[in-house]
Amino acid sequence: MRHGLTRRRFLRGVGGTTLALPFLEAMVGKAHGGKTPQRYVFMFAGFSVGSNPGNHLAPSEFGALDPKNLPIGMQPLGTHGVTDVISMVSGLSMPSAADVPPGGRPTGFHSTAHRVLATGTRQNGSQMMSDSSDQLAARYLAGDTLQDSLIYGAQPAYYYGEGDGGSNGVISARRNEAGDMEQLPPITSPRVAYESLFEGFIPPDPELAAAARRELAMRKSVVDLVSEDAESLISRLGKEDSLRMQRHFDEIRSLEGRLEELELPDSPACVLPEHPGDDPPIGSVIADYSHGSDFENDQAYSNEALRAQVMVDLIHMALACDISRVASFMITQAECFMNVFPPLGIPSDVHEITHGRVGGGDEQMQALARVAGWHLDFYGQLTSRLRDTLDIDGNSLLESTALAFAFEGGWGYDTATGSESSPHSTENMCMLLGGQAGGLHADGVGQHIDGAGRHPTAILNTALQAVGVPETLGEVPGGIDELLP
Amino acid sequence: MRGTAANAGLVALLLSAGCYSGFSASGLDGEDSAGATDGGAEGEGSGTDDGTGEDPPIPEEDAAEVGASGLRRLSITEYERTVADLTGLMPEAVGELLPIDNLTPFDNDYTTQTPSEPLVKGLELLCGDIADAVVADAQLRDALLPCEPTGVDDAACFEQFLATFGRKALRRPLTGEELTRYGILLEHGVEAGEFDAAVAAALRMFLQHPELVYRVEIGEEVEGQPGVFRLGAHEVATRLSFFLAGTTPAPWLLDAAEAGDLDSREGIAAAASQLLEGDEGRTSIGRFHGLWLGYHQLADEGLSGAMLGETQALIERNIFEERQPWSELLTATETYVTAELAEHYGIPEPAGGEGWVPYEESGRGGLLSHGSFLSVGVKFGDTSPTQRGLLVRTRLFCQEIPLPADDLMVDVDEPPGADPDACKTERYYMMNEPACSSCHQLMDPIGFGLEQYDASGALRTEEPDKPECEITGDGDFVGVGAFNGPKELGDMAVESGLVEACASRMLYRYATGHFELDEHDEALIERVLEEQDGTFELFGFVEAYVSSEAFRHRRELQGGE
Repeated sequence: MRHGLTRRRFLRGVGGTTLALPFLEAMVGKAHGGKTPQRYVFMFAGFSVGSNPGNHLAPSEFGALDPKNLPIGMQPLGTHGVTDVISMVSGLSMPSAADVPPGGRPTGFHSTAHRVLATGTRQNGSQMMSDSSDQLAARYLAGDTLQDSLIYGAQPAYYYGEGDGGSNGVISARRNEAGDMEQLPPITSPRVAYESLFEGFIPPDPELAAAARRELAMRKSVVDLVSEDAESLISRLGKEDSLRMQRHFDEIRSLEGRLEELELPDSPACVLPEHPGDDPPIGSVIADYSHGSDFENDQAYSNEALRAQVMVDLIHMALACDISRVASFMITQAECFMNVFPPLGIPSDVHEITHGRVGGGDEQMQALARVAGWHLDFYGQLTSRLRDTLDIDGNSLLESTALAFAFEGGWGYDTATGSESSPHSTENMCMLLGGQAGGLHADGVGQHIDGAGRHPTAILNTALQAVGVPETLGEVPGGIDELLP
Repeated sequence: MRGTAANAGLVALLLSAGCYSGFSASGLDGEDSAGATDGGAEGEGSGTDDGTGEDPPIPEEDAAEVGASGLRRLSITEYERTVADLTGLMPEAVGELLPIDNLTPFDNDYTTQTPSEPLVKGLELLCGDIADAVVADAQLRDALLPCEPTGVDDAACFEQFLATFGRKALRRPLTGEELTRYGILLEHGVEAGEFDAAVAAALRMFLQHPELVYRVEIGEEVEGQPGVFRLGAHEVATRLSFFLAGTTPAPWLLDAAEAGDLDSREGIAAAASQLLEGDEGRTSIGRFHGLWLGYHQLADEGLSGAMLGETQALIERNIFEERQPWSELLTATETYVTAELAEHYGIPEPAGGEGWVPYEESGRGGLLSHGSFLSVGVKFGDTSPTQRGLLVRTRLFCQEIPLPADDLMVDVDEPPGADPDACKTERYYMMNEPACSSCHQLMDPIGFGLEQYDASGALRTEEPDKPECEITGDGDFVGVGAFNGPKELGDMAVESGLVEACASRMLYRYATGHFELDEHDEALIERVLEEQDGTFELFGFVEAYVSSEAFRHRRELQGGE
């Protein structure tokens, strides 16, 4: 590394620094008329687990959640003490048929259910065809925050077969100003996520501040030149190519806008997190699936536990610092082939657990519930930290936040094969909704609610309603009335 | 950095003397009419090749072969090699900071690439890392600078650096306007008190520049042939280099472009020959095979590394040294192994620890016997006859497996069969199920014919942990005949005549960056195969392809296409 201060060096050296600047009350007031900004978070786990009895995910009874008596999958929520601000809705169902109904999916499960769940709209091939919940939320909630939305993923690779698994790793989409749908891949690099949030940070030390300003100015001038050249190319390319270059240019322009000094409200809650360091290496595909023991290593694993932890930290601080008010966090990709031996000691990838790799019956369901619990631990963490973080109005951040959690599928009838008890099913789905925005959990009681076959996207509609978004998603009208007062 | 390479003058000399050992230049039409020169003229706008507007129409039958092309982003491997060749530094963490390539099965398919926030942001950070690392290494930095700066504000030296490096990075000379604009980056050196800071800023810029990150093709529309564009010489150089060497054009190739040597089809063929004959050519063709046949993900160490070496040795000997038809790879009678690999296969060990060993009566033969090929297609803890059969049908024969019903997605990944303790021949019952047999009859019998070779290519006669389940290795290439083992399958595949058509199409897909082929693509492939009597010999195919009008043109889809 050359001499002198580079961005990484001083960002790595000043973790824990309060980002406080002279109080900028106007910053809080001007975007939303003095009202507390509302926040929306969507989190996703890429596998199927149902609320069927014996699946160790949903409580056996409906009603108030008992933190001392939670099924295996939900126990992390008890650990984090958030069962009073999170509810589960089980028994949800997404329709599936060869002639796909509104809000439904085709009969093939994989690479379909997650797109419909996120948008409430039937997909077109591998494309989501309407705004995903986070993007719809961003339209109404972003205000003039530095980042309209955060789109994160913890699993950087598909791990099975070829390449990146295509659209299994994408769960955000928006319709742009030209009316075209844009599929929005998540940032899966903790370092990229961290530095893109805090690249405008100027440390208080005068010497460091001068170096930081120089570096920022240099980066901006470089990106300005790149942006100019990208823009000039657009008109000279053919139609299809110009659309691609336009998209690239749009992202460069967005980056340009971020390379400014970061101005933040004066809040003790707004603290620069520690730099995560270099990213963990990307795990290799497991070429030989001959034996379960072949999973007893760190192949097909890129330290998603660390990645997810960093991203929870970043989402928390981005909300606390009002850098962003919306986040989508795809913890694992749809049809998740991540090896769970490193984090859980289970010698299998997630997908194959759903298909009996670690045994059948209760052994299988317990393993699956542990995987669910691993995911929900991050959800519980974030909920807990938001509750413990003061907003600029003196209330808890959680009071202005709705956090939705979705699993890719449920457990039940597979319309493709006719199997009655299959993970390739969107029957008996479970979703969770946490937070206290809009009256959620006003009575201080988290509930287990019978979804009674309602559409899982209805939970997202309820979350959006709670934070003041006046639209519902795609082809799924309505929400879960029991969740709101 | 690049090793020694012939310059354009030497190429021309060799051509005139007729003494080069590369392409035979057969099929070329002799002197070519003046084509588009590169558009790197100083003056306005970007210097991308726009041609000169004097492009004569090409014969209709040639125009019919011009396929569509699109803005193609460098794959991660291509970007790594480009950075290494430009700076001398093999970049780290490219795969961590940039989105992973989708494979179709190649990693350079532009139809699957999407610009995105993670790409742009990851690239910006990565370029900063690379720039910092290069200027921190005095040797690397000095190799990039064509002059010794007299001070932090030496604008002349900085401009020389921009021109020299920029030409290599953007794959064309910079315009005067660009040199002026980019020259402002010197200010950062002045502010920092270090000339290196300006160099680092410039490196950052070039390495994330859209004309480095993407292969931009514009060209000039051919009069009378709407939608057909003649590429400039630098664009042709870029096509050649990434196709045959997997990296950015070397200085000698840029020189050739600027000398006009790539304005003729003979010149293009000569340059292609030079690229293919180099080490990078062997690596690139090796990589093509790995992606095509699915074994590219094998770790290059230990036994799997030996398998990769085995396959690469056969490719190099058959294709590069002996110029045999590609199908001979499937019928090779010997293989290149280490002692460890030989023992693993149960064949005689090579003398000296590593070398060619005849298969003799082992039952093995050809590439289908290699552990590399056999490592693909595993599922449920063992080899999957369905997956192996699918690999053979779709990758080796380019056949599509029809769905049993229009609305049924084939997504069955349950362990096949109701009884997990049953033998595999019973568990794989789908080929006898009426609703499933139309697909599985095409795949499973092929896979069963390879079952005696496990996922590491080792021979076995019973299923893992099931000694009662004998593996006979009896298979059936439905519609062709029965076989047993990879040798017989290879022989049968060659006799069927399917592999030549498929291999040629796969190479074409790799070259052009799109999996779907239209009538223009098929016209070229069919014509070349016909001229070669239906035989796919890689060098011959490459020569014919790069010598075609299609190679130095692109097609823009018109409305309604």
